[in-house]
Amino acid sequence: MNLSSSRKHFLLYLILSAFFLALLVWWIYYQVREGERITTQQEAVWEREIAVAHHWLEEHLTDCEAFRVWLAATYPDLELTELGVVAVRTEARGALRETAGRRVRMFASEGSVLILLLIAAVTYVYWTLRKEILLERRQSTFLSATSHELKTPLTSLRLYLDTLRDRKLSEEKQKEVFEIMGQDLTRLSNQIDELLQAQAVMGKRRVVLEEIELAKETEAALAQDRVYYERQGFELRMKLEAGLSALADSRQWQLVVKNLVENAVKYSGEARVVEVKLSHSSGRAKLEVTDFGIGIEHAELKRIFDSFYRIGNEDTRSTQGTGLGLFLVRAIVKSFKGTVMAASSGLGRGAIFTVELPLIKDAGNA
Amino acid sequence: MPERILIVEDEAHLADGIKLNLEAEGFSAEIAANGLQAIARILADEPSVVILDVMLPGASGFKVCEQVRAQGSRVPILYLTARGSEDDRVKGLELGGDDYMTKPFSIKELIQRVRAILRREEWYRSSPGASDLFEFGGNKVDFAAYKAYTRQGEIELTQKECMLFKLLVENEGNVVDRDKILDNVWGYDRYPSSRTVDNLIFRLRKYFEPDPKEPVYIHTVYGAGYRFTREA
Repeated sequence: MNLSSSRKHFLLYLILSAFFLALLVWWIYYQVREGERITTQQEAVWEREIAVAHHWLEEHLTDCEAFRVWLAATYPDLELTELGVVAVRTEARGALRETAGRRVRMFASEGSVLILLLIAAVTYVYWTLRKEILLERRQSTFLSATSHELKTPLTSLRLYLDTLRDRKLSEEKQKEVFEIMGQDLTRLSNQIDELLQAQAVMGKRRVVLEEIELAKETEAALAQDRVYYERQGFELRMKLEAGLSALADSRQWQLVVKNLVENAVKYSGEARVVEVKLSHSSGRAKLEVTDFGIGIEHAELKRIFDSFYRIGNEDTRSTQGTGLGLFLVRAIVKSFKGTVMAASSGLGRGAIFTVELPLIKDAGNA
Repeated sequence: MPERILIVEDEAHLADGIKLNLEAEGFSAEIAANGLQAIARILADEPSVVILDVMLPGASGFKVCEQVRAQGSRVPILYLTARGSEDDRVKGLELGGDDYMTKPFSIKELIQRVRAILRREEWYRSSPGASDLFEFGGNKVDFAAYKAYTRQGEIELTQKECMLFKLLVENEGNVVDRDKILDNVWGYDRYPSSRTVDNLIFRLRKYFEPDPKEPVYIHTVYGAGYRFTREA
């Protein structure tokens, strides 16, 4: 199997990070060594100068004062001590020590700042790459799921079109085929709608929010789907409190409702019942979509709102979908300044999705 | 009795549409909507051909193929899937599938391919030696049981090995070219590579030739193909 590009980047990144860290450590080590070398060198120079001075002193022993003048002029770092010995001036030694110390301090501080910066950069890049790898994995799932979701109704349409063209069907059978083709078209157009909405949401296109009546819009969202679900044997129990208004976009709100209900229907298992309840409490409108189906594992709860996230493995996909639905729900609700939450008491125990939006105060809300 | 086709497909519309068309063509067709159900049905009912989707609830189509082959079923399998990558195609065929079609597909072509698979099966079951043991140079081949008895003892042959060998035997003394081999043993284009044919020949020689490097039964005719002779 090929290494994906972000994995390759990750490997490259590890190698580069290690290289730069090694470079930095080497540079600090080198600078400290260089400082030590300069000190040693200076001391060697002094020793040579002392030797020359002593030699001079032995030759001109007679005139101490003249020697001092000569010494100060020739070797300003040296002095003639009380004991008559030539030695390095305390100030000169102090200055050398001071310079060496300054160098070490400089490189220690500069070095640690550089190391900190490098660690920060390395960590930042690590998280970015990690996020990219995870996203890439989800995207590949998404592509696989989307190609399935788009190709399936297309394949079915083509199949039935060929069938109608090439075969003589009874009138009853023909009716059935037209019904199926209609459903396929709806599925295809819903799918395309969802992709376009996702693109709009991810592209952060601004939507002007306006006051909408939630019960009315919720009812409208489900008017068509409800018939479709009921024909398939699902029961949609709706309990919508009228007169609740919020700042939102009616088209996007309808998409939220549709997606949550579609999701609930998909996972409703044998129970085949979905409850949609609109109510309010402490200044917030509350939409609850409940199913009594296969439920959600605790570990999955956090991730189901991520883009392209789908539970399980695409090879054994047990439900339709692209993994965009709930991601869209969250993005839209967030843009309405609301929240969405999923809860489930575990596998086989159904799930409840709760959307909360701030109510508009002067709109006759209780 | 009509040939029985098992359609393994979780999308009800597709499954029903394919069934409708197959029945109009005189086949009898049944539907399995998930992978596990498919495995059970294939092993229990032994259909003539299986049309197999890959992305399925329960067990993927690849898993279904692998499982039924592991259980010794030789039912012809035709994949019908939205996954069209070369990797998927090769994987599917390597797991023991017989043909691979991608969605969207033409129902006419699907039916043609089902018929081609059935023709190959029919050819394989027909004489010579379909029920008898075929004997040459101290080897016996049982085409019906996919078994051979050679100097090395009893050997289980794969379906492709048997089909290729049968083709050579049927054309005893004559050259069989690659195209004919691909057409009879695989029956569709682009798969396998010529390498696969070479590998099969290599394996047959290993089973039947006293010295596979100096073949006396299965000869290579350079630039033309292969020729089988009964006498060394």
